[in-house]
Amino acid sequence: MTARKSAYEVAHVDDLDAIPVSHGLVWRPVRRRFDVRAFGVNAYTSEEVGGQVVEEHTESQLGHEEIYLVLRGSATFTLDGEQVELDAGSLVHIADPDVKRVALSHEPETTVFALGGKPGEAYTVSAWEAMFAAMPAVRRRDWDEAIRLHHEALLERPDHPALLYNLACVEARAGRSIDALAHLQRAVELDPKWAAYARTDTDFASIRREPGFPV
Amino acid sequence: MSRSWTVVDLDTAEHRRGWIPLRELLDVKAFGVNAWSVENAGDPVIPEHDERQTGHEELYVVVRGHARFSVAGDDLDAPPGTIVFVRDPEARRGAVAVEPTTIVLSAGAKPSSAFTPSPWEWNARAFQRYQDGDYEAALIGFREGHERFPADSTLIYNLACMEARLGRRDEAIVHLRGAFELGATIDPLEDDDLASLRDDSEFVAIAREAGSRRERA
Repeated sequence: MTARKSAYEVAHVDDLDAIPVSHGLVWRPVRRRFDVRAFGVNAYTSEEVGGQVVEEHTESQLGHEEIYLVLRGSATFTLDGEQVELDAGSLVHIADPDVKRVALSHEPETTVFALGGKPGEAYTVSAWEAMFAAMPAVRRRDWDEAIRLHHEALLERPDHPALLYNLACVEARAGRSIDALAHLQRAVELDPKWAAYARTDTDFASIRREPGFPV
Repeated sequence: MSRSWTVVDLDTAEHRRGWIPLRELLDVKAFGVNAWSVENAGDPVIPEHDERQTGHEELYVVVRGHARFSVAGDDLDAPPGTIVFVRDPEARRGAVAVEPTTIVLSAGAKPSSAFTPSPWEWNARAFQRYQDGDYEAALIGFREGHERFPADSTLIYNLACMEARLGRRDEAIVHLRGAFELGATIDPLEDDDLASLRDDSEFVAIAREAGSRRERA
């Protein structure tokens, strides 16, 4: 039996999960909270003033256009090296996925709301969400939970090389060598570039000498 | 060289009767996005509607001020930072400002489908021209929309209304007939925009047939 989803859901941005990622960035999952299926949507806060409220990245891989709205506080966006100051109530639309973007908070409580999707294609959930979601479990070395979150994401995207690679990382750290090797081999089979990453990734220290480790 | 990003300040952006048409302004192609800005408490900030026609999921975030949402018959208090996600396209939803200067951002799209702008945008733009009393401009807008979305009954019906207003009887009759063939459910006898056609025998026949269809439905 499956539970019927409600017609609507409500949350305040302050009530969303707060998952520290890096460089002060705190991910406040919106899409995942509501199970939005038609577009990407998230919020970000920062652990301290000056910390990231948008991590440095491009959307070259996903091909997404993005809108960032400063919901509260203010932030400095750096877009392909050019600085843009945005106060609460302002937004920036970045049509070009190749633009390198990052934003730093100016004030406590600065909150950035992000929307994204790929023109001309139905939205699919980005793999990075599962990796971010697993971070708290990885930090507390709750390997069962971290592995469960990766498997949950792989149900929707069974052949996603980055997800398989990250699952292998977690399994290697958990001492599950056979699973780690199998998932790493599958990731490399799907995209050989992961072999190069694996060669220097300290997560794989426990399985690097195993037969079948990608070289 | 043009920049590949655009900044919009929702506090100062030009709005059309409260609607800041972000998707159109920014040429967003991956999802629908708009902002809604009203000055007075008590003003409707999200017009009451459902998304049956588009099948869209919609997400609203209160950017400034304070709103009260009504979704599927439930009242929801929505201070700034509130996110309302309406999963069910059939759920009626709307919002009223409870503080002056209330701004709400909305985003929407249909799951498992590539986004395409909906006929609603063309209809809303032309309807505002109609509200301004500029029927010629409204006609152009509805015609553009009809040419882009020939299967949309609202656009062709509204096009017929403008043609009737402007005394273009023959075009109005053709488009009115087309609107009902596409499933329009409105009663044309009750529509003042069609007053110039009331004594026209073809109009009367169309109205009678539309009435029969409504009864059968």
